[in-house]
Amino acid sequence: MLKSKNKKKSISYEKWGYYFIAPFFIIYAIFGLLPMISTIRYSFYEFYSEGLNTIGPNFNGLNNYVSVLTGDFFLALKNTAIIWVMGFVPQIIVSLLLAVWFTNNRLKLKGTAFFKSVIYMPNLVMAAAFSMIFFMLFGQSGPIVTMLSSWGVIPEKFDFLGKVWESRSLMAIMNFLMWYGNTTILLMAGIMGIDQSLIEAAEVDGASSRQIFFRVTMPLLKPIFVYVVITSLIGGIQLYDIPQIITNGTGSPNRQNITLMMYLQTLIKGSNNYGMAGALSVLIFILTGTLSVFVFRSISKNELVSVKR
Amino acid sequence: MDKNKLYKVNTIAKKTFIYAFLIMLAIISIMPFYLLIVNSTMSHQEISTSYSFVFKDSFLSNFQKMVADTNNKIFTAARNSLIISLGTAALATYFSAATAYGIHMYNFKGKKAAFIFILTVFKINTDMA
Amino acid sequence: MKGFKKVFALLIVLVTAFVLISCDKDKAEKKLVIRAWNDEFQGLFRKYYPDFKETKADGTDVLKDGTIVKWVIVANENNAYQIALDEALKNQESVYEEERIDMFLVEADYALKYVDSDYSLPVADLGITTDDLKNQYAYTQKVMTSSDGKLKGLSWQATPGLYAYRQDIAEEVFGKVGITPEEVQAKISDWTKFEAVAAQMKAKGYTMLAGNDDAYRTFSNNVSAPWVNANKEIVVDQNILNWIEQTKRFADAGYNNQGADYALWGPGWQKEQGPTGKTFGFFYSTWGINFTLMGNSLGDSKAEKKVGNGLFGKYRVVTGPQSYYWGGSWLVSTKFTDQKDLVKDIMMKFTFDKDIMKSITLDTLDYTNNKVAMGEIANDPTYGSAFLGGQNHIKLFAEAAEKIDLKTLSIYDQGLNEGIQTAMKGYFAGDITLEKAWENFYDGIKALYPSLKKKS
Repeated sequence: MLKSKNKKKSISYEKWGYYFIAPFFIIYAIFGLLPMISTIRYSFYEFYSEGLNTIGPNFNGLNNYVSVLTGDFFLALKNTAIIWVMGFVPQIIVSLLLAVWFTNNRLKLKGTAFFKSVIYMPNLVMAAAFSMIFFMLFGQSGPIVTMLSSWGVIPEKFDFLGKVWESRSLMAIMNFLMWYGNTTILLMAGIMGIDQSLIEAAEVDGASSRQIFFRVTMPLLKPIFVYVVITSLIGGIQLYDIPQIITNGTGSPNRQNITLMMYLQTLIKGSNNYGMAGALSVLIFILTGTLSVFVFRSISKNELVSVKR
Repeated sequence: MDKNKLYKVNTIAKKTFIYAFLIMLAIISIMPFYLLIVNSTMSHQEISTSYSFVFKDSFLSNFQKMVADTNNKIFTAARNSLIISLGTAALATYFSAATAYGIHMYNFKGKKAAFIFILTVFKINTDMA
Repeated sequence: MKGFKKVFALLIVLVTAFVLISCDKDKAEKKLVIRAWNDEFQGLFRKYYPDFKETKADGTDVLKDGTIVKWVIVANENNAYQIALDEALKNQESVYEEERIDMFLVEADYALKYVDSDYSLPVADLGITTDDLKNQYAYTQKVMTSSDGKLKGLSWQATPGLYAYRQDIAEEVFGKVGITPEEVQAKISDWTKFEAVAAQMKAKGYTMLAGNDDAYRTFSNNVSAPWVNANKEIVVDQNILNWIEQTKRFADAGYNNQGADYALWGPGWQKEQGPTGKTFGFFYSTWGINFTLMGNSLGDSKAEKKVGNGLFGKYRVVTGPQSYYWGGSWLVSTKFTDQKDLVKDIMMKFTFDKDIMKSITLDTLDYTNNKVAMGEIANDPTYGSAFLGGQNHIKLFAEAAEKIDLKTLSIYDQGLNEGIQTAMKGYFAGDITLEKAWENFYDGIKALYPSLKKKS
């Protein structure tokens, strides 16, 4: 008797589960899946404009992929990767440092509330406005150049934005500033989630702070760390507004600052080339997916996805 | 006693270093914000040919020009942005919570698959737009 | 509680949907829809169009007969103006008749795209005859003539280009106080002489030009064939090669400044036009001299614009080594227009009516597209520009405008012009070789216009 009653109850509740998640899937199907399928479809067609006339869509198989791969794909990939790494490495180091300092009760730092809000501020400034500020600061007659040249460090009217590594450094710094607040807060949340008693136990056992950090904190921080790396990676691949504004859309100097998204934008801007743009989008997606899986695998041990009940 | 003193000196040195570093970061972080405000007080001519770290006096005239521009109605645009962002926040929160609740509370076929699907979607949704 | 939440959510959805979907369905009044990328023509329209009555609070204008003029202005940044315009033109069929685009403005760089398309209406179809157009400068019509010979657009301005030099530097370097523009022109009447003078400037610590891009227009406007030939191959004209070689020589010798700041419109370039600048002169066309150069020449931008304020009064204009034109805006009508008479009237008032065009020039110092009106001002002995120390620059423009020889345009001009200037920057600065610069140029064009090929 009881058994059958229970069975009936669990079955009827199941339906509610479906009802709850249905809106998500319906909305996603309309607004997310359909455009994505359309993009993938167009990537196999020749489809662009000449003036006001549209050419295509004509099926042309993998031609678009070949054009993209022999075109600027690897150049843009290299540029994007370099700028991202230059920005992210300092970013993660500084964020870890800050996160550790802010959560360390023994240091008794004052004014942490002030610092925590201040480091988040660059994130609020729009990338466009941010780029303009840097344009002004590092321009040839700008304050930085004037100051540094009067000390004799660099020649007068030094062209920061016109040199390859200098402009890349600038963009890396901008990326760093915009996102390190975010990263710090996330890492802080991760650290605070670590059981204090573990750290205390390690201290009692005589571990130095460096040992505590590397042997206790970091391993327990892994899930958040993975999340931070992956989201930063995805953000990095989509690096667009900063280089676009700093180089005025040209990817100068010597095309060494063209990023993947800038390449995509050029394809659309010049000739509404949905065919090649679609191919590029698919390639970027595959790249993002592969990288994410790679990072995920190499750092964590599938602890992130905990199956609920 | 000596060990204690050494420890204290160590801590003070450490703290000084930390504070210095933090203050430097703070200055670098506030600088763009500050400069933006300074820029808003400069006239068009001044912005395109020079830079300044002190406030100038064109804020009022700039503001008036911005408001008077009927081709870029700033307040309408702000209102539109507000409507969209409020709507997005409300809808997203409600539906996400509902979905999460559904996944968590109920046990139904394909739940694991649905969960993994949602995770994948989360990663790629910004990409293909 | 659950019920309440659901109702609340539904309400939010409905409100949002309602706000998004509800659109103002204007009543069927007569409406003229004009698209532009800035408010230049809007300003002229409001001030000089006889039937203009007032501007309403929402930005539309009302004419004396009640017709509403709706302005759709999308800035040119990142190609936004053209993207919006193209999208709108393709979808005109599904738009209310009243809301369809009646007129839009274009610039020379991308005019051909619209001239050759069916979307633009030949001016003959509006009832404008060749007799009405006889006082215009021929080149303004050639720009807007389609490949099958139909004139599609008209302009209220002509934009001949000149070389604006600094009188004080000229007096110092040439050693003659009160040297006249004619004498200076004799010294720079062709590119060889121009370069010789550049050496003189350098010897006294001045630069001839501000940056690399200054002289580009002068060369690119005098090529003998379009950028792209019938086989979709990119043809680099000899004039462009001349520009590259000359600018490289200038860069090496220090006759101009290197770096991102000195690109056209850059902060360094603008600053050089002011009292602290050391550049002898600038290539500018009509609109540039009185709107950009004058502003940049002042010492104090907020004080009155008169002699004594910075370089006001110290610039003079000459034709320079080669005549050219730079920019200009044209009015184009669409085939969807339902206001043919009004469009014709607007076009006639601004591109034919002598009195209106003359007053525009006298008030705004812009150069209008009417030979008769400009001739009157040019020959007026009392007319002179205070900014140019009393020189009658209209006279000079009138002479220059006649000499403009137009190169044929291609629809790829904008990308190719920008592309070559960008690609050559590194070469001028000495960072990359000429071969690498050319490679960059072609690679960049491949991404922008995939159907173009390099000339084999």
